[in-house]
Amino acid sequence: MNRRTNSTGRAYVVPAILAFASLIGLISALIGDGIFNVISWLLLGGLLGVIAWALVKRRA
Amino acid sequence: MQRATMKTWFLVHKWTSLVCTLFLLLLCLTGLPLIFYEEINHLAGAEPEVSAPQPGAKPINLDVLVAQALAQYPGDVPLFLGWDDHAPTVYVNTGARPDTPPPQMHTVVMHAYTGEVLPVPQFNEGVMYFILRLHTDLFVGLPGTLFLGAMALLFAAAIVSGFVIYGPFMRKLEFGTVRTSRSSRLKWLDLHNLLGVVTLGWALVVGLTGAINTLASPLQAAWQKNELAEVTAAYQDKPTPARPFASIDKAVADARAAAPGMTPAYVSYPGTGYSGEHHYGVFVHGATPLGERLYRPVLVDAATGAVTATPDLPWHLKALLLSQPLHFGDYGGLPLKIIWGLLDLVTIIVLASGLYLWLARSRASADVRVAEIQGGGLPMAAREIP
Repeated sequence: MNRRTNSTGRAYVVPAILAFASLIGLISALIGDGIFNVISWLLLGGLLGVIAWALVKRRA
Repeated sequence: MQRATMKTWFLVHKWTSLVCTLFLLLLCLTGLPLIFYEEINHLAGAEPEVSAPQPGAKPINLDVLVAQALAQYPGDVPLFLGWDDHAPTVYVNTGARPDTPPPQMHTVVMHAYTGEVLPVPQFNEGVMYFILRLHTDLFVGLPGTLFLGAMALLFAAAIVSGFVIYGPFMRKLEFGTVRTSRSSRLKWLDLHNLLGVVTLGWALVVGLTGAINTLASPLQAAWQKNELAEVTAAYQDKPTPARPFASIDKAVADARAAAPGMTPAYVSYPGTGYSGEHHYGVFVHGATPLGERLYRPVLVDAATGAVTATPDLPWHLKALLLSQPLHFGDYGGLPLKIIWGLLDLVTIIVLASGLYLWLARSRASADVRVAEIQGGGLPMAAREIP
């Protein structure tokens, strides 16, 4: 693997984590109530937090 | 990635997006109030406060409630009846013919324990119904629904192709970079990439489950034609049952006994497209978040009142039932609905910024864009629009 594909791969690390967290969040509230709902709120609400963080911290 | 491959993905992203964007904007805008359908209906008085039943009170006989509903709409036949999850009410849908479609149905909502007819607006009238039709069939029935399903599939293709070109583009940029101080195009391009990639998983699931939902009536029809016809093979040559049908109250009581641990949610009459021509379909469901979604029909002979069968739904109808909450966002309380609404708003920005990027494109060819992607998202000054 050359350097170029490596850095392209690195660009996908955060998106992959976010996609995985989204799926867990989507499924969680389907499985149960109570804590399962809270997990959904945190994981899916976290996506909005990431956007807010980027808009504040990654403005260039 | 090879230049030619990259160009293909870029063109896939461009064209799938361009074809579906306006319809997706419509779906996102109409979907927003639909997320809060229950809350809006409640505020609008469509779900009035209902007094709790007296302790020890017995629910009114369903045959009486159905007769009462028919008295409101003389000449109609009963189509469906069902129970509210949150209030002690029973609704009865009636129509001129057994196969009356939803736009022409009449609905009577009654107190389950007193029989009082409640002043509730018809579900198929008003602003929310207008929005629902725009969202689900563009007022043209099944063709409109299937067309929107195709748009949802294009949306999913746009998301996947966008994800493929995201990596090379972000090669030299930190995750989340939004370059606001250069050009307007660059700012919106970075925002489009950030908002798109963060909401990717959610948008893909809502898009694909939406596409699955558009297949509801064809799947329902296929189930009646195949699985249901098999279970009720003995009825094939029998004439349709004569009215009045067997007692609905007894049918529901027998269905309860046939499906222990489950609660009836709604009942379909023969000929409505839900339970064949000879049977009541008493649809029962469980109490867990998953079990609540997985309805199961108990088929009751509408002529004799005998329970015929409790068929298991085929996997594709179960998949359909489970895809519904994932599309509606109505399964994790009000906080989840609010998050659903906010993610919907973010998706609107992704769609609008994508449209803007196309409208505000310079005369640069696809090759120049591909070079920009391959260059790691660093455009040459000469290509910038001030």
